[in-house]
Amino acid sequence: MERREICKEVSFCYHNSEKFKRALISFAMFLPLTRESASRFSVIPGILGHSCKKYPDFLKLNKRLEELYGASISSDVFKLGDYQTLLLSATTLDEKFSMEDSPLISNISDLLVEIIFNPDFENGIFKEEAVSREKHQVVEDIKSEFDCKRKYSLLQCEKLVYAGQPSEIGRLGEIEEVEALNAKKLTDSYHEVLKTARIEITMVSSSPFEKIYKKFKEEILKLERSEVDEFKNYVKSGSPKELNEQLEVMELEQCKLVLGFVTGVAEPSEGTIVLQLVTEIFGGIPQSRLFINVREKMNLCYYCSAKYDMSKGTIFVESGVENKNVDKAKSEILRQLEFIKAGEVTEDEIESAKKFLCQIYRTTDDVLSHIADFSLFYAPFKKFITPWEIIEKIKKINKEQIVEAASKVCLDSVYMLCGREQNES
Amino acid sequence: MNPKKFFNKKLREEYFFLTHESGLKIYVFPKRGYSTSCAIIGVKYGSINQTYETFSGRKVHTPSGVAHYLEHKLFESEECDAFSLYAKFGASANAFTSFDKTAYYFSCSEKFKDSLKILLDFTQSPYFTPESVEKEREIITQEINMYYDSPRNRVTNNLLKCLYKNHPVKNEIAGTVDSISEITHEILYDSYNNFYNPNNMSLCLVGDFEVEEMFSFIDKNIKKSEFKPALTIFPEEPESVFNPRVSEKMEVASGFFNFGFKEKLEGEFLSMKDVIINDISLCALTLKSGRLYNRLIDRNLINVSSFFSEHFNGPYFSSIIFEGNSEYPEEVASIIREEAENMTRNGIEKEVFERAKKNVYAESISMLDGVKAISNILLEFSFLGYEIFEFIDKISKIKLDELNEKIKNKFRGDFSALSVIEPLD
Repeated sequence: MERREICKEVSFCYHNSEKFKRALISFAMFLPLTRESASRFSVIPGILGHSCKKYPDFLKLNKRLEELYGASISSDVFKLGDYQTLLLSATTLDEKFSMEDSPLISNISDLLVEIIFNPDFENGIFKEEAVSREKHQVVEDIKSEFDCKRKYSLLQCEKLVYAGQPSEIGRLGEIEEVEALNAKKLTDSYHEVLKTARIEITMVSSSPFEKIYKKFKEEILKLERSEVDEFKNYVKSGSPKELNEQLEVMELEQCKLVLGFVTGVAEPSEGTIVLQLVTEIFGGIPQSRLFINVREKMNLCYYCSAKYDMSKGTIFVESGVENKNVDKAKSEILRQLEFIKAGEVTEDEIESAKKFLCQIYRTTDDVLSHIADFSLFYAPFKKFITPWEIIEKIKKINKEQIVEAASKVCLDSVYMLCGREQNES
Repeated sequence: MNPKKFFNKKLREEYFFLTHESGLKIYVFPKRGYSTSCAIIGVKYGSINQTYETFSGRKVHTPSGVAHYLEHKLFESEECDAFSLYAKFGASANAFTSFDKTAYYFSCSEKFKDSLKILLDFTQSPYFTPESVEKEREIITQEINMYYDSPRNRVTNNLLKCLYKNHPVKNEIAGTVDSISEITHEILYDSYNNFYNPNNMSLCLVGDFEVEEMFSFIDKNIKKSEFKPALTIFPEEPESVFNPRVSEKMEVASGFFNFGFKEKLEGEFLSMKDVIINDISLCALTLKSGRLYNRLIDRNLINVSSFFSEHFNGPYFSSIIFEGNSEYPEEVASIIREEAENMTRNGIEKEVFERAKKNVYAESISMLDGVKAISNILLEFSFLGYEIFEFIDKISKIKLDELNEKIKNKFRGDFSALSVIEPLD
């Protein structure tokens, strides 16, 4: 891995790997989540990925991508801590494997640079037609968050836990605000993003990176970058004065139950590694407390698992249960956590969790997207750590540290989405 | 043992294959430099193998959901379950049941042979009691309820019920709450004994290990069977669709659609060449630079991020399915039908064909990116009788004339059906 700083808050990170048949280059922009900016920023990756000056419509741009062996340029918006992350990511077949040895990596990086730095402007602003289409797409994406009830329930519980913090804001902002955007406002936002975002460029390939690095550097240095504000990530801890609880009722067969816990431990703290182990023992590994007890012994559900968001220091437990069993499931989830807090954790459980986590980190280098995701996750926290360093730290953790970390896990919010008939009976 | 070696110079990959004396097909694919190793064992037994004739000539009909139920129960032994054994070695394991197969797999970064032994042991030694089968029913009921609440699952299941009148592919993989109430431990044992036979199974290993050592290790751990697997009886299926349209309402924000063309299948499976022709023709029809895609997005008829198409085929069934979110499913279906019929009538243009071919070629090479992906594709191809390097080579050799001739009878509007999920009023 080689990391270079192009200028302040803009880095290029290269991972050389001969393992893959494809190559990946991604361009991530990290911006503080604010209610004012989330909606206007969320439209930008999509509109950029739609066309550029050289290929001024969707059809021409895609024709070019198809010529490059179905190379893809995808756009995404997600939250990482209290950052809104805008991502443009290009993937192509490694040129060694093309039918006629075309320079695919160089071509796709040229295209990515074009898309980011030379948008398809008309009189200096985005075309109305493109703006309108992309706004529609973002609105549809926001609406569709309602459709998968498991995901929807998790989002609702997140809103309860993060109330009053930037993370309360949806990754794509609000429908009304997206609909109110116009071409001028979006163009201003595009310039603002390139000037103020913390930027991380990642390349995973078997090919040399110098030329590609140079291309990005040239474009970045042309920007009149502003000073990037010091970033504040809100991390909640301790039990709330009053538990946040919310119940919604819909036409459903199964109740979706989500419990949100806070720990006060988030990146870049060293403590996140111990809390990962706590979460695995609690509801991560196949032999976790929640799997063994809530599913296997009590047969209350098909899934009951815990996930630790290290960027925010929160743990969410999700389960799908019959309405009549909600209280039973909730009590058992909390009871199992209390056991861990009381030190009732076996060496076998700790060993299994350690092995499981080490396996995940040890194999990060074996999947193209995992390499990029790993690098991207730590970038906004300015924590430069390798999977191997994490493994060494995991191995050294003992039971006392696990029990101590578990004591910081406090229930903050409970969200339940129940079926209508079941609830009324 | 003398396995056959398959080698591809361009891809710089090789793997080894042999049919073991027990009948088990074994594939060993070395991947040097990878930390991850994985193994998958698959049985040609899925949800559609509901009616069968045993080796001794007994005819059996089973309720829907048996293969999936069996998958849940097989992890258990008299002493413990396989997950707790895997946990000791840090392996990550799981299983899945599809329409035409059941597969069990694990991945790990150390002690591969120990985990492989666990996999081979539990898949060869079923153990269930009436009590343990009864306990699992509650868990599977919750799994079925979870699928039932998913609009994506529901819209597809409804489409299959429209396309197929008799073929068991119309039934849900996990069965229904009613159908699984009929499943007993005797049915599970009977199904196991009739299908979990080495002659009906394939084992695929991928990772950085010594090939010979693996073959000899497997040889020592495979039991032979005196019986032959049962023969599945498939009912006669008419060429026409059962019902051209179905609509249901759910608690969703946006409409969901599945639109499918039913295809006549000569024989049990499509030939390798027919699969490639299907892939290229479907790719040509749905290219992002193509007429179909652009007609759909120009008028905002679909949510771009949700639009997807696939060839859905298996024993005695084949169809082409388009899915996505749309407020105008009828219009979307009509445009798909129009463009598909236009393509079959006029043939694919040379330039479009070349781009589609490149895309399909790159996509199939990408199947070899990563050990898990390789193990899955080896298993898939093993059951179809395809060889992976030959498949990739054949893509580049397909000629346009031949393809245009073959697609003349495809995408017939009179053999199509539309399934829709609409928001509640």
